[in-house]
Amino acid sequence: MTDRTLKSLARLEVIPRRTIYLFLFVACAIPFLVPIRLPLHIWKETRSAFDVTSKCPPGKVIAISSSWVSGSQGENWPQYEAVVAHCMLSNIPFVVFAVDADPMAPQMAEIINQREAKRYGKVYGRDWVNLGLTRGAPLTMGAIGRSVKTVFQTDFQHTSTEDYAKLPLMKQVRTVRDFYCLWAVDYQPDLNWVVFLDPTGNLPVVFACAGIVSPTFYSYVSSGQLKGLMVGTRGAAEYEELLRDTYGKRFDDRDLRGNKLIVPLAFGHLVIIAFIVAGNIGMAARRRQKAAEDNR
Amino acid sequence: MSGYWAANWPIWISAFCVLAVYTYLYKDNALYRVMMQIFIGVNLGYQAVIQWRDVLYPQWWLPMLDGFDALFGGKGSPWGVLWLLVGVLGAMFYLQLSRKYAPFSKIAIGITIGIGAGLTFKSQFGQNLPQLLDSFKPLAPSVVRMQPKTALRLAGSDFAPLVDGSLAVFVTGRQAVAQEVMGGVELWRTTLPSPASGSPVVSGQFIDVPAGTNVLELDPSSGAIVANRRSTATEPPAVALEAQAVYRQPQYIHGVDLIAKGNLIRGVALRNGVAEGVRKNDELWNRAFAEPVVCLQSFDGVAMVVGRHRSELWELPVPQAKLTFGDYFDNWVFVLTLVGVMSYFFFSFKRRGPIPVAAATFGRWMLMIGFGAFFGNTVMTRMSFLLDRLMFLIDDWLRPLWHALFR
Repeated sequence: MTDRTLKSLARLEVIPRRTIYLFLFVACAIPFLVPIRLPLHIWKETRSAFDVTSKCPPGKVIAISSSWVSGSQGENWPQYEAVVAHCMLSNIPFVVFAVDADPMAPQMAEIINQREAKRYGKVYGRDWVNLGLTRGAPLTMGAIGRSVKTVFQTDFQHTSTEDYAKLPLMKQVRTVRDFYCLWAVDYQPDLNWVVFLDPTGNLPVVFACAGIVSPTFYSYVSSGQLKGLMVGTRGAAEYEELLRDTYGKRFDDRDLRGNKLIVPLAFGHLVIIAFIVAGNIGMAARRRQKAAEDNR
Repeated sequence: MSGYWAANWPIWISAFCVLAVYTYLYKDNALYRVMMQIFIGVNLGYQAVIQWRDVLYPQWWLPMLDGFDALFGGKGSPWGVLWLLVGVLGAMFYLQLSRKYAPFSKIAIGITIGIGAGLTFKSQFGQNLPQLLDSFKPLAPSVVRMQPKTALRLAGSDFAPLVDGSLAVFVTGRQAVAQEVMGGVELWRTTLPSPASGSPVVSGQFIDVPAGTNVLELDPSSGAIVANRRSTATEPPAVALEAQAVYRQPQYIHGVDLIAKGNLIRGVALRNGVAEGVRKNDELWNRAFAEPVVCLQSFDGVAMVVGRHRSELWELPVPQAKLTFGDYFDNWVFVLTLVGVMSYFFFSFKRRGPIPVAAATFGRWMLMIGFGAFFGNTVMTRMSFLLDRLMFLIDDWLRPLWHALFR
C-alpha cells in the first residue's frame, strides 16, 4: 500500500463528529420518507411476555405500572402502545398506575389509552382505569398488593375508586389476587415489583424496559422471576408482529411506533457499524504508516 | 393557511425547542442553555404542583383534616390526627438548615435509613436468592428423572375413598377411618357391624357406607353410626375400582395424565408443550407403589394413591423442559463464564499456575463481550430517542407544513 493511500485511510480514524451526526440524521430520515419493511426475528423473551398476557382468564385484570415519561418515550411509548393494544384486542381489562415516577407519567399513558380505546370501542372505567401516581416504593408496592383502593383512593381524574357507577371495573379490583399479571413499563423497571407486590411470588411479572438496561434483566428471565421481557423498540416491534399474526386485520397498527421505528433504527445501526469499521481501518492504517516511518 | 397555523402553532413551538436543543450537536451555545434552563424550571414547577395535588393533598392532608374533624365530633376516625406526626417528622429534615437544631434532623434521617436498610435486606434476598439457585444449571442430561415425593401416609381402603373438602373416609373390611386429607390427622375410626361393600358417599348430612344389602349412615363429625337401613333400588351398586385393570386420572393442572396399572403409576404428557420440548404421550416419570393400586385421585399438584393396606399422598413433580444440545451448550458457557469472572475478581491470593491464570483471562474476555452487549444496547436506546424526535419533526411538523403549502 502506498504512503498516499495509507495517509488517506489514516484520516478515517478521526472523522469529525458533525459528519457522523449528519450521516446518522440522513440515514435515519430516509425510512420515514420512503416506506421500507425488513424481516423481524421474534425473540424468546418477547414471545413469553406475549403468551403470559394472552392467557389472562375472564374475571382477572392486568396491572400495568407505567412510570415512563417523555425522557424515554422513544422506547417506552411503542412498548406501552403494544401492551394496551393487546389488552384491548383480547378484551382484557387493565388498571394502570405510576409509582415513584415523573408526574407526567399518568398523562402520557392516558394519551395512548384514549387513542387505542377509540379504535377498539373501549370505555374508560369499564375496560380500563388510570389510577394515577403514587410515591413510596417499595413499601407502596406491598400496599398495592394488599389493598389497591387504600393506596389509590381516587383515579387520576379524582373520581373515587369506590364510585362503581363511574368506575365499574374497580368492583373487581381489590388486592393482588385480582391481578393476573403485572406489566412494568419504564426506562428501568423496579425489580422490587418481583419481591414486594406479591410476596408469595405467584403473580407473573413482565418488564418492558429500555434497551440500555436490558442486559441486567435477562438473568431474571432465566431464573423465572420475570415471565417475559420486552426490550426497547425492538421488543415493541416484535410484539406488534405477534399481534398482527394473532389478530390479523382486527389489529389496527396505524401510527403504532414499534414497526415504524425499527427500520430507521436498523439504518442508524448500519451507519454506526460502518463508522466503527472505518475508524478501525483508520487506526490500522495509521499504525502501518507509523511503522513504515520508523523503519525508514 | 390560517387554519393550519391555528392548529399547528404548538407543534412549531415544540419543533423550535427540539431544534434548539439539537444545536448542541454543532457546538455549545446560548440558545441550547436557555432551552435547558426553561425545561428544568418548567419540570420542577410542574413536579411541585403534582406532588401536592396527587400525593400529599389526598394521601396526607385530607386524612389529617378528617382526623381533626372526627376529634371535634365529626364523622370518620380520629386516628387520622396521627398524620400530623408524619408531617412533623418530614419537616425535621429541614432542621439540617439550622446549626442549633440540626441534631434533631438525625432522628428523621435515622428512621429513613432504618426503614431503607430493612427493605433493602428483604429486597436483596428476594431478588438474589433465586438468582443464586438458578446458577446451578444442568450440564449433561440427567439419568434420574424428577419423581413424585411422598408427602403423607394415609389409611388403606378396599374401595375408592370419599374425599369431601378436607375430609377423606377410607373403608377396609369392618373399619371406616376418617382423616384430614392434607394433614393426615385421624379424625375418627368406626367399626362397622358388617364389612363394607362399596365406596362411601355423601348423602345429605351423613356419610353412607354400603355394607352388603344394607347402607350404614355415619355422622361425618364423629363417625357414629346413625342408622342402619336396607339399601334402596335407586342407590347405585357399589363397584370396586380394583376390578379396573388401568385407572386413568387426568391431572390437568400440569397437563399430565396419571396412569396406574398394577402397582406402577406413570405420569404421561396429556398434550404437546406441557413443558418445553415435551410431546404428547411422553412419559415424564414412573413410580411403583407398595401394593396394587385400588384407586388414584389427583388435586392441584398432588395425587392420592390408594391401596388396600395403605394410601399415600404424593407431591407430583412439575413437568421439566427437555433440554436440547443448544441448551446444554448455553449452560456450559454460563457456568464457565461465572467461574471465570469470579476468579478474575478474586483478589485474595496471587494467581499462580496455568489454570487460575487461564480462568481469570477467560473471565476478562467474557466481561469484555458482556460490555460489548451493553454498548450495543446503549446505542439502540440512544438511537431510539433520536428517532422519536426525528419522527416528530418529519411526521408532525414538516409533513403537515408540506401539505399546507403545496396541496
